[in-house]
Amino acid sequence: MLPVPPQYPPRGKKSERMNALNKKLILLTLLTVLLFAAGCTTQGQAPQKKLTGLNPGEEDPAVWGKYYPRQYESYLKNKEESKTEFGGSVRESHLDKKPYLRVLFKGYGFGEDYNEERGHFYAVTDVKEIKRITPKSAASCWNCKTPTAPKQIAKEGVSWYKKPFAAVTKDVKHPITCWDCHDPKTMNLRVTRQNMINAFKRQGKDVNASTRKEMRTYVCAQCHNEYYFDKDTKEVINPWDNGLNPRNIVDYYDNKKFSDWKHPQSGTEMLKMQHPEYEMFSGSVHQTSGVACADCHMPYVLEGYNKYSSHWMTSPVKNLDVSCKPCHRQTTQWLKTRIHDIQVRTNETLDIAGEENVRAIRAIQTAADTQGVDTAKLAEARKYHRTGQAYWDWVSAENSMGFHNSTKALHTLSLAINNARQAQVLAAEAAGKPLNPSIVDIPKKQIDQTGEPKQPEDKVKVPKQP
Amino acid sequence: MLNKSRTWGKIAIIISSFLALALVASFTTVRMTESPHFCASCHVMQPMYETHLQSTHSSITCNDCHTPQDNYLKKVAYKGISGTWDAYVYFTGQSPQIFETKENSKEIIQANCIRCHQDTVDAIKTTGGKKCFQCHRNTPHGERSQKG
Repeated sequence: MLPVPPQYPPRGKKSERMNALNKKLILLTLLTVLLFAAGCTTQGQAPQKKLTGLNPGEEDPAVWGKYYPRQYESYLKNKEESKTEFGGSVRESHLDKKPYLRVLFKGYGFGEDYNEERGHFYAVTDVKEIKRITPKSAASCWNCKTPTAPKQIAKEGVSWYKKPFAAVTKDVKHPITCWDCHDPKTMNLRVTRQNMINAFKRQGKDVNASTRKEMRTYVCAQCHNEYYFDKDTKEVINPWDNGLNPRNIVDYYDNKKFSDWKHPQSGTEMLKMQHPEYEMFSGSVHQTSGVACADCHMPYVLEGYNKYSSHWMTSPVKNLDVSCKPCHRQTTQWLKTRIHDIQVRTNETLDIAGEENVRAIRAIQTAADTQGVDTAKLAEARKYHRTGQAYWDWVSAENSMGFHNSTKALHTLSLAINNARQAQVLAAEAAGKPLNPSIVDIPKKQIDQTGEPKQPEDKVKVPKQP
Repeated sequence: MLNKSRTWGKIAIIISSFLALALVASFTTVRMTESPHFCASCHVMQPMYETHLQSTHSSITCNDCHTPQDNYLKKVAYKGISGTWDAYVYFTGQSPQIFETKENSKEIIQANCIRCHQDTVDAIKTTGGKKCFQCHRNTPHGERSQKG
């Protein structure tokens, strides 16, 4: 008998063959599942590094940037310098663009050097280079430019403000950075500026206990507000005790008999308003609809599939697609036209108000030089000039050209024009040359249906409703 | 002895098959009642149905956004209560002119936005501020007024 050669692969029992087949099937299935699983992992960036703890005083944005590289990269874009129709981030002189500013700010730093501001990145550079800073300037001017300021204030208290500006310069390392708004441990938003903390405290509120939605406005508002330096201590104070409207703020200053400078031509005790963006925005249609500063000025942007807050704080006009269009689905052109319409009208009204105040200055100056001028009336004229120019400045110094709150901007400018006109009329009267007797002093009740002023003796007849 | 175990066996089979049937029926009911087609059987839902159909979210159902999805029992309980209420309001002719999301419903929707879009919103804070749909007001029900 010839030996039977073994068969290869060895044919074992049926059950063994089934086992082998099963194993192959299982392996194949596993492989398929693994391949699918590998293909189904998420696309896009790796999730953010978990924060392991920055130093509580870390100012350097590059260090923060190691944990939040995307936000840091967008923060670096604050270096860019480009113009918008009425603003932008190019450091050009306002005085060249609107020469009447030189008259309105005569005798004050703003009449010498007044530029369009640049991004947060340039805060330290620009405050050191502006000619309004003199050897007489106080450390208070550093308050909103660098984290060094709130840190030193926390240590030295109110006495810090009175130090000379130059005494702090050597300690300044960084402009506005992450530390100014974010807690290094938790990343939570927090207000670091004492002026705002105090202003809220005076109203019985803790600003740092606000909701996150509110904080997205407050961390900007802590510097983008109207303020003054206390005459004695030079402490930075927000004049919000009566309210946030321009009328409330002028009242505050009037009650304190406060003024920023005396106008050399009109002799008026003047008020300077500084960038009241927070106050202007309050009560606007956007603010009351729940929109915060960060919603438009630090919009969420997509990188791949990841969303993060852009830290390029600039005009939303430069990135309409992500600032406006998430909520407003009209075309870009339509939106740009709306913005332009608001700003161009505000600008025109602003110039009218500015020029009326220039006329007021000239009228008061002329009257003051007149023999036998009525000094009481002249003093009153000066009060109207103070108010009129304060209202004008409220809109001029604010950086949205009316967009933040177009109703409030135009209303404030109409008050500015009204006050400036009153100043002109009173100045002329004081000098014995009334502008037009029928314009002066019309009690409201004496105007009938036709709008013509009536004689004081006549009674106004109001017709019955049909 | 043998008979007893046999009887128990029969009972067990009947109960388990009944349970299985009940489960299948309930799953099927849940599935059937979460489709946009079903929700739009009440005509007041027509605008929501049509806008949803034309949106980027047309591939998911109404329930995917409007019911809690973290827990099946939670979802079914919510569906039952909410759906019954909706039916009552509709059949008694009390449907409002303007449909506004209830507060608890807003929380459910927000949780569902985040559930699917987790990777996109990984780098931003989704609590304490606005809800997703307060800016994304057209998703998916088109232009509609939205209080702040």
